Amino acid sequence: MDAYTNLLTPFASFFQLAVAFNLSYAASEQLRQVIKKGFLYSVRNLASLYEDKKNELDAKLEVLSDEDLNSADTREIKNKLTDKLNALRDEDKSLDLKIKESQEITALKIQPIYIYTALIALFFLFIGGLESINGIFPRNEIFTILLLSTVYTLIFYFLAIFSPRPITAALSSTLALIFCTFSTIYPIEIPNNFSFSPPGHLFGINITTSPYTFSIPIDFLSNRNLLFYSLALSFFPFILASVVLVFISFFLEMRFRLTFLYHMIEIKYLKFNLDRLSNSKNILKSFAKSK
Amino acid sequence: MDSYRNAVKYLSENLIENEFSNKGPEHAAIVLEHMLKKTENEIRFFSGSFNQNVTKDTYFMKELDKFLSSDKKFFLFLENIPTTSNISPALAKVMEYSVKYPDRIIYKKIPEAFINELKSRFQSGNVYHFTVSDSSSYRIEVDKMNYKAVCNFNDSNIALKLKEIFDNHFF
Repeated sequence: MDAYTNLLTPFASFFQLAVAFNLSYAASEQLRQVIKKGFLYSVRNLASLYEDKKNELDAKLEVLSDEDLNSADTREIKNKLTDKLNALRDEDKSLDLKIKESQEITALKIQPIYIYTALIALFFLFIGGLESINGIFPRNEIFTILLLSTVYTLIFYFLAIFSPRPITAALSSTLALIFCTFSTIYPIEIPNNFSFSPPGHLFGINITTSPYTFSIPIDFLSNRNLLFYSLALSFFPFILASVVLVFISFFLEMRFRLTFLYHMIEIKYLKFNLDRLSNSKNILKSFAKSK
Repeated sequence: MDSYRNAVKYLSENLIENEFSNKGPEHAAIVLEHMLKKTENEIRFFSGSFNQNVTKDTYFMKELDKFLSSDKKFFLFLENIPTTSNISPALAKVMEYSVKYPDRIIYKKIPEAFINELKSRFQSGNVYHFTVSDSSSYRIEVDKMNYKAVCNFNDSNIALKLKEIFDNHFF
């Protein structure tokens, strides 16, 4: 166990920033748009590559109208090239859709997580105050909130991914308040034998508690680790969105780049065959070799 | 026609290395118009008489006018210089500008040696009209009757060879 007692208080401004960032993100459409643009940058480049190649092939097919396409071979090649153009158009649309979907998840669907995290960061500020007053690092409160928040955020994130609609922010903030209340109440020390018999009443309340009722062995986590975890949790939605998008970006890029390469090789091969069948172009071939 | 014009515009603006066929006077005018548009320094024409079958196209004429009034170079080799009554408006414009700017707008009648070199270089024994812009794009007319040509907006290999033959006999 670490000797530090005041750990949360020195990081109060960090938690304040977390509250500000998370709430701004949840509330401001403009901020969401700005951050959204930073995600999937390389995949969007790939989408523009698709767009360029699609336009290029479109133009090449259009100028083929002057080609002598009398033979069945050349007509077939032109048809295949047209099919390739359609395939590129479909891929381009599908890539656009995938990018929009991924951005939708990060920008809109997990929006309530940002509200929840802002409230949690606010809660850290509150128990930071308790820590200052009592001079004790509130391990139990921190651990409870961290554990519940991690479970909540992960469940929520997967729900958000698979749910067709964004989950309402109201639910998120209600859950946040429940968690905060629960984690605040839980470590309150209730005497082992608590009895309350108000005068003039026939019945009294008699509660027997054990100090180990809700206890989770957290000795393996040092105070410093709990602090770092709290700091990370305050920006968790941003971290989560970035990590998920790095993976999405990688897989989208791999998949679409390979498909793109396959299309390009096929188009090159078809064009090569088409040029081979053109007499006019054969005249050029001999000229190119001339000295 | 618009879709063909857009396609040629795309190929020329993006300097796409694509050898393509070009047939008929209207399509020929479109390619030549875009060659003029994309020329940065100089353009070379080898033509029969720069007649109006191709050059009468409004867009081409507009572009030619713009080109001639710029500071770019325009070199024209003609198989025949027509009589005054048979001169096309495009050739008339070239002649007019060549008086104003004799250093950069020049037209000449081809010498016999030029024909011979073309015949030997093309190996088919034919003489093909061509246009070459800077050192990158070209249009070689392989069938004069049908204005059928092979074009490319980014092939310095062929373009440089055409330029070399042209310059050997023009200057």
